[in-house]
Amino acid sequence: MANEEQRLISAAQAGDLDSFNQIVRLYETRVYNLCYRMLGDTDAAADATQDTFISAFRHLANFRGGALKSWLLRIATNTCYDVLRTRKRRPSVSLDKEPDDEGNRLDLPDPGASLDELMLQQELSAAIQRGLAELPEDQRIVIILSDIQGLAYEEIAHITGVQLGTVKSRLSRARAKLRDILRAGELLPLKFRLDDETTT
Amino acid sequence: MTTLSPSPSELPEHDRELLSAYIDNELTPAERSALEQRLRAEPSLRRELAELRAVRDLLREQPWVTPPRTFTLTPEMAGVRRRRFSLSGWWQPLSGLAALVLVILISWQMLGLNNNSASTPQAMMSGDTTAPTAPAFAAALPESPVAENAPAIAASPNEVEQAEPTSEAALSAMAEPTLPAGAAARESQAVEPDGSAGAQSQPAQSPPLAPPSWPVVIALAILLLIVAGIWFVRRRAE
Repeated sequence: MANEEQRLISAAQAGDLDSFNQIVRLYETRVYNLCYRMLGDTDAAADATQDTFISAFRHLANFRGGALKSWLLRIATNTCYDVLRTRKRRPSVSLDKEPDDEGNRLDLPDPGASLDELMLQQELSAAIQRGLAELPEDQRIVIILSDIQGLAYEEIAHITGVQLGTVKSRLSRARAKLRDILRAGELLPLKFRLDDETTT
Repeated sequence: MTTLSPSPSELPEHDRELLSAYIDNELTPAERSALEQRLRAEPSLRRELAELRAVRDLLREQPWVTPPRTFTLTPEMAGVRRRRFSLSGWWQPLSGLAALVLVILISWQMLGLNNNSASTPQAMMSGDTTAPTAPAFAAALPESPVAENAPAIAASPNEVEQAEPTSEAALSAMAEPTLPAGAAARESQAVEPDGSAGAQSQPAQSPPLAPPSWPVVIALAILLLIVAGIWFVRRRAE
């Protein structure tokens, strides 16, 4: 797998677009999800994802080895920051906008879930997305990379370009803030309260 | 789902950082054992830990969103141009210059040929059109021995042969610049019947060859140079 990826990288660096497009197919879902969680709407996420891969292809000569995933996510992060900066200058799209469900196809973990459970899950997903949108951008990116993308602290530090200690503090603040948001919306699942009760 | 009182945690920031890192197994062994000791003694710490873990697990359970389309790049997106024949570096202006010189040379040749072809029919037609002007020519050259001798030649056929070399020399001298050998031969044949060769050959003297029109050539060259320059600059700008 790693050898195959290295072969694709070398071919793409030599200008082979087909090889680069194979890399795109490997990482597009991950990059798109990062952009979607950061920006909160599917259209902006699609544009940012496309821009990420265009930028990656044009700067592929600067890739000096290491984890391609981290390199791509770093470009995606910077692309999302650019979009958010543009929104602040020309606030035509509100950060508090409801996450759009149209065209937003979730990979449901349990296809056999009942309609009520599905609706509850949709509600929870929307609440989480709203909660993420309320977080400061530097905390939002860290919690997305850690808790949605499942990356280690060191990798997050590399992607965001901050120290390991900064990653730790931003992550703890983001989790606490999101906890407060979900608790206010009565969306923390009962089982976690039960867990809490059993620990006391 | 449950209803929890929306009371933000009162824990110090440092404790929350420890708990968050503990969830992710990112503490050193010493930090970990110290925190676990505190967790056994402090219910508020345990509750905070449970809630932070709940948030982390909720996010991890979130299904991934399926992208609405693929994001593979087209050659246009990637800025990759299809390869086409092109010369590299300094060959481009050099080849343009060579083409320009070639066009100028061809133009020159065509203009020159036009001048030559314009004179040839004149010479061909001279036999018919200039015969009546022969006396005028003879009058124009009163000192010419050929003209003076012409009546005598006509009167005495025997003397024609003597006079012939003279008239032939004069003919060839006059016809040489423009007339082809065939025309000269015809002229010399025409001498024999009546000795008026001098009068007939005179119109074969074409007007002096007009030099190619220099302003036209230069204007054409400048025009081509401008077009080539525009093309080259646009190619570079692409």
